[in-house]
Amino acid sequence: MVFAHGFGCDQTLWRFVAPAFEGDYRVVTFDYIGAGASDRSAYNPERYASLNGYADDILEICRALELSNVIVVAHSVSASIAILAANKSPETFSDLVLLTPSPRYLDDLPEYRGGFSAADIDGLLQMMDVNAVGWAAFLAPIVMGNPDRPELSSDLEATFCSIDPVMARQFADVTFHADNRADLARVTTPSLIVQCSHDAVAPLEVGAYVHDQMADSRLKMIDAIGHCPHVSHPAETIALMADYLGERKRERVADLV
Amino acid sequence: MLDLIPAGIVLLSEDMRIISANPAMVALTGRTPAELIGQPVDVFLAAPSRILFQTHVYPTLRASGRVDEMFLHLAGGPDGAVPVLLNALRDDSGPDVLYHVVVVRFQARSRWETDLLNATKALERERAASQQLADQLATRHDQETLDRSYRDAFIGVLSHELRTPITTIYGMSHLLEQRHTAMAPEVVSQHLADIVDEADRLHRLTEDLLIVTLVEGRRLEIGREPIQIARLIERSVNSERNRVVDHKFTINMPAQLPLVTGEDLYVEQVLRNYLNNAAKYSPAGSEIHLRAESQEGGVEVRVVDSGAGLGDQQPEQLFELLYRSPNVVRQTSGAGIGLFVCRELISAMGGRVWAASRPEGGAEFGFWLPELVE
Repeated sequence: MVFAHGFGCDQTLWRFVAPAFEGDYRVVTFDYIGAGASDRSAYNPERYASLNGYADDILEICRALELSNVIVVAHSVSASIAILAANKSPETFSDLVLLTPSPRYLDDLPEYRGGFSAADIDGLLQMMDVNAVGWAAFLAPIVMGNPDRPELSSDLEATFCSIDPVMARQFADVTFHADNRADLARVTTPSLIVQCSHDAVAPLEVGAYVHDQMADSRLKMIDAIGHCPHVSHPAETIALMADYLGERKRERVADLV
Repeated sequence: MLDLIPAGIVLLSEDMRIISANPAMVALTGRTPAELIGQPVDVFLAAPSRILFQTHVYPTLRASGRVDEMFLHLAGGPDGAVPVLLNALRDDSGPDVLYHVVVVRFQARSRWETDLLNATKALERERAASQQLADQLATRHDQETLDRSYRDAFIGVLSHELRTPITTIYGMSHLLEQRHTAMAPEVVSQHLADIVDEADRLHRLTEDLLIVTLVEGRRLEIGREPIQIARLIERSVNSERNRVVDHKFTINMPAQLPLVTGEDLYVEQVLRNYLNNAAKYSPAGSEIHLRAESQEGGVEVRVVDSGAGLGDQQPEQLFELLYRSPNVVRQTSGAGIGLFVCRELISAMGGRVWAASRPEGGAEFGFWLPELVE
């Protein structure tokens, strides 16, 4: 079971949920480039200019650890990343567990309501700049007087988790300008979609849209405010995942019989 | 006391709903207390701040127990979005988890900070642009230094090439003037033949130099007149036979060749350069073949020798003007402008040139000129 964190934090956020599955599964958590303890020297702006670069990272992790029948548990934008990975290499995955997914955050009216306008997304990027993330990125080299040694700026880094400001900025840009709607219908891997009842980032109709577009998918709802059910409602999240995985196991046994 | 403090103070339940808010907080949101209580706190944030709150602030608050100095925008107070700084603390000491939040208006400073940040970004863009300009200038300077050194080498080689025939002509003519009466007639003839040879060499070199000058000044213009190329081939080979006695020249072409377009003078100059080159780079006594045939809507002419071939040299490079190509400066003797002149003349007449080593040994230099279209 591979846990893929979303935009904004790192793998430590899985600590409320992942341990519950350690008895039955080999649990793998990781940090995307720029987050947590990832090796920042591996950063390459071209590779991460689209979500595909991140999807390749998931596939490389599966290959490096020789994982098969992978259940990928993906939060937020990672759901889109996991879908891209599953479409690239369907044989690697047995199930997708998608927490608060959204294939596109921007509205594309009238047929699609992602929840945000282009101005909102520009505002978010600017908000990141004005918060410590941006200050660190723009001022650290000046304060340190040495733009050639970006590692010096790590002391000034953001207050959230341990996100590299420059990489986080690009991740935000790529995430909120992505449009992965067309990728949903191509998914053949069975999947569970978990939706929060009051999620400002991935609204209800987006969850319904994802469920509608993905052939072998089940949609479950948690009565929760927010975008991070694995953080705010870990017990409910674990229960929904366990139910789904139990159902899938029974189906496989029934198929065999 | 909380009612008087000039900062918004909010108490949130575990699921981020507002339990209580002091008057300063109510004023910041521009709502009534009744509109605040019981609502999820992110409802009162502007949309971009709502995303940041849900993706960064809440997870950090839940995982590390606090966030400090978060910059956010409250949604629609009486004056539109209100920039605020927010500190929050998770409190799990009681029976229920609570979040204590303090919010301070950050209007003026945020404006300065935004200005400062934008100025910093603009500065960074300018710095990058200056750097790019500096890189471009450095590249151009390097290129010019290189060009100058090739040009110097070119002038050096050229001076040598001009001086050699002039020295011979000068020396021989002086000698003849002073002592021809005392010389055996066959010695006089030999000296006169040498003078004619060198004068011929000088003449060709200056003809080539004239073309280089025209090309460099972008003034090379050639008329499109009908040319009987077979006649030119015969004339050039005959003239070369008389000049170069230690090689055997043969011609192989059909009785009828189509008319091509260009100017006689220049086609002859190309033929002369090709034949002269072939003689220069193949052993004495060997054969030089000239073949012409109708090909692809034009006439193809090939001069084939039995010399050493092209070796490691790139065919295209052979047609470069000497000072532009450092390898050629080192490898080739001679002024190194003959093939360049051929290429420029032929291409000005709408044709193309090529060179190749032949599998059976020796080199082939060729050109193709388009047929005259009536």
